[in-house]
Amino acid sequence: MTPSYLELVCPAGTPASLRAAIDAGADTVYCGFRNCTNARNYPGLNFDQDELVEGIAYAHERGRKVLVAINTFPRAGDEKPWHQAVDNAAEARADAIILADIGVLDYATRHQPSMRRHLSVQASAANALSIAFYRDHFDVKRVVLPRVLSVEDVAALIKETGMETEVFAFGSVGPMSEGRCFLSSYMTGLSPTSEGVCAPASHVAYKEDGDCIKSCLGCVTLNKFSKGEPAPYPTPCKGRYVTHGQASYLFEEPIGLNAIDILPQLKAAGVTALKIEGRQRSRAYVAEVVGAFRKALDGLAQGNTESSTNDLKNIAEGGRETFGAYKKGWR
Amino acid sequence: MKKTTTKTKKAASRLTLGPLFFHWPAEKRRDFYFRIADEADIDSVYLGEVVCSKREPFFEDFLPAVTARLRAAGKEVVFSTLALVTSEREMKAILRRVEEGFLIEANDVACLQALKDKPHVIGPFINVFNESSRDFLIRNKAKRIVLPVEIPAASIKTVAGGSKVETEVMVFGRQPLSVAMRCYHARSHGLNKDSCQFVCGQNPDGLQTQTVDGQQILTVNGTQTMSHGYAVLLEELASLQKMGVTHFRLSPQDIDMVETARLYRAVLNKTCAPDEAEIKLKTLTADVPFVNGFLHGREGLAWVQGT
Amino acid sequence: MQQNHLPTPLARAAMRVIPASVLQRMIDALMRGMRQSHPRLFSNLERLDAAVVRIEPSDLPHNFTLAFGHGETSLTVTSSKDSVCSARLKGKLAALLDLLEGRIDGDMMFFSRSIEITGDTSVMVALRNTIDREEINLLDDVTALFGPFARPARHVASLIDKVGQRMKERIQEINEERSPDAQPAKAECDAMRAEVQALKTRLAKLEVRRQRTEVSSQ
Repeated sequence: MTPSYLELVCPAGTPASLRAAIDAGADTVYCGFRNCTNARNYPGLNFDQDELVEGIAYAHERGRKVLVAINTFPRAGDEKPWHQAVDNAAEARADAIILADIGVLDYATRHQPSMRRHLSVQASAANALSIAFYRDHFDVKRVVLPRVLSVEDVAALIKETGMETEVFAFGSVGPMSEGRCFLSSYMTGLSPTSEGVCAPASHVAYKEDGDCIKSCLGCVTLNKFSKGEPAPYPTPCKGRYVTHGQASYLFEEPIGLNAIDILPQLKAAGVTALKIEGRQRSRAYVAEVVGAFRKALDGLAQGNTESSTNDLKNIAEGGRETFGAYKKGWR
Repeated sequence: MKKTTTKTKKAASRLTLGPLFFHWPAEKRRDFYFRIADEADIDSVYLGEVVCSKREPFFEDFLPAVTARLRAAGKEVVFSTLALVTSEREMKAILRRVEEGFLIEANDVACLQALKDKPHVIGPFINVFNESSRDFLIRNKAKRIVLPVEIPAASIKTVAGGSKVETEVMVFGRQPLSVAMRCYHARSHGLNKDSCQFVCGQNPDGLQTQTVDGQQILTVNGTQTMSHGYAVLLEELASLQKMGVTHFRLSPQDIDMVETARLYRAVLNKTCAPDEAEIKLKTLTADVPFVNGFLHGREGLAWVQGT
Repeated sequence: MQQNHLPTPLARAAMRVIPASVLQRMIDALMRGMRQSHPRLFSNLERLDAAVVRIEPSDLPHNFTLAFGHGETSLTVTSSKDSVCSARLKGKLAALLDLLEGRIDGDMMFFSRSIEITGDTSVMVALRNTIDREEINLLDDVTALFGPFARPARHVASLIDKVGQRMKERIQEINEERSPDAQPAKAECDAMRAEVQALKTRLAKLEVRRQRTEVSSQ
């Protein structure tokens, strides 16, 4: 079962980005509330209820969809904000909610049964049995697959489960199993899993060190780079570490994921939707990336399987691109 | 001798030995467990490979003897599964263990689907941060829940306190901080996971990394990234007991684990003061720093002195 | 085609020669205007934690201090590099204007190192995200300062940009035609410079007429 149409799912950190994504040709936009219920809880970012209602109206008037990510893990004894977020998304008539925590999935299944549920990448469901578990218990309709699978793995999973899948097409490489990475909280005390912030800006510092710039997270030095050298995000997995007497990007290089040249393969694998990452990035990024993918997908729909030339390299992390785990040998 | 008394003392705290994260030679691994069976005051032992399925075949032949010896010594044996399951082969291996009748520690949600209605342990790699996820998993036949290493005391109080089942917390050892598909151990040698030559076997306590400023923060173990510091929650044992935590996990390191278990047991039994045990533990752990930040709601690498 | 953003060469040229005190008056007027055209931006900025950001355009003699949070927002011209601030943002004026108008992605500029951030990064992230929520067009806000003369001012600005663009292209052409180290024809450059100068004068006159109208209407 190969879907004839690849849905383009795009990020919006702000209402302005939501409009930019839709104007640039997004089929679907995903966003989150302005609190710890979503995994991009950065200052000045995200939507309040009124903004969400307006954003959904803007999308629906144009026949597009809006998904709401409620994809962090509630703190014990303080689950109300997550339950409220589920109810608010339903009230705003979002097209689906993206969830990760088993408790939140359980709440949504019982209290908002008609609200379509997607499984977030934060749930780290990378195999057929896990996917079946979430489908059987929470009637999950779509799974966002972790960024650790090859195209062959993706195809096999879809064949075995028959589930709708959404895969990352552009953004970070994310080498760790998401939703279960405690590296950033080990250095800062703030958690990506429960507070929605990886490498919180409050703990990031850039210091001049002679001719170099040093990036620090909490009290840990992540990297030192000379002027003009490409800089990665200041996350622990993109730091330089010394092993066997040599400093290297032990986990991942400063490089961005871009699957624009393997869209025909992803389509053939049976993927339903392509996800662009970057709710923390600007609307200029959103417009540029969404525009490029819209063009490539329209070309593909007309049977043009030639890889389109793309100019997204500059906008990618570190100014370089990779197919990440999609190509065997990455691991 | 000790087993008979634990039945009558219903609320007695249990000491457990978590799964070995490191790739030790099979004989060393076997002898380690034999000694645990013969000498260690430990109630439950978790066997099984959590980090990398490529390592699994090495220990397979020794598993029956080790299991038998541990059970003969009155210890509960639990089989821990992989933290990240992706291949068909890995899923089949889990199904086989379930059929063999082992009590399973599920570290990937895949296991829950495979286990259906069989009682099981929820491992620390399945996120249980709150009471709703706890309650769902209990309804799904979890008989014990091992909490994730990141969870702070305030949450443990709620999750363990109101639980109808046993709660386990890791109180000693390098904290597992992330799992991945990519093998960083291999990468550090210029290899990849498929051509790894099992270089992770060269570092029985993990591969030490340093930041470009020479700080020791992270340790690499195959596809797993761990804290450099050993988590040491001796000072906190009494308050964890009060919160309702029933099981206390020691994670195997390449040090004298029998002696480590003895120190923890003494503090649990209140026959040794925690600060005294800490000093003795220091003599076993060389220059590896102690950490306990996560429990105190701080950055994990912090060391908060006992109050 | 109508020019749709503020021509950077013009802004840079103007700010290079204008004394700080005059620039400050212009900025005050611009901020008053923007407060009217983007009320939400200002209320969002004022909702943030109080912070001071120093903006250092590397190709200008001036620095700017942006203070926001706790119910206030102000932008002042400074020359000192040592005043206390929460964070510093360094880069070419063109890059900074692109950032302000949301034409270009801040992370990308950071990756490529065309802007530099030091100090409290959370302050910069909050500011960047708050500004990015608004669709700002600085040319609209600047030309709005010209009141009834907004349209002619916009036209002049657009002409300056076009001439500047032509000059750039011509220089490139000449460089390609000749050996790489040869200079463009001096006469040609002088002519273009003169044209730009004339346009700038026209713009300045419009500004004076606007001020006069303002005075007479008070």
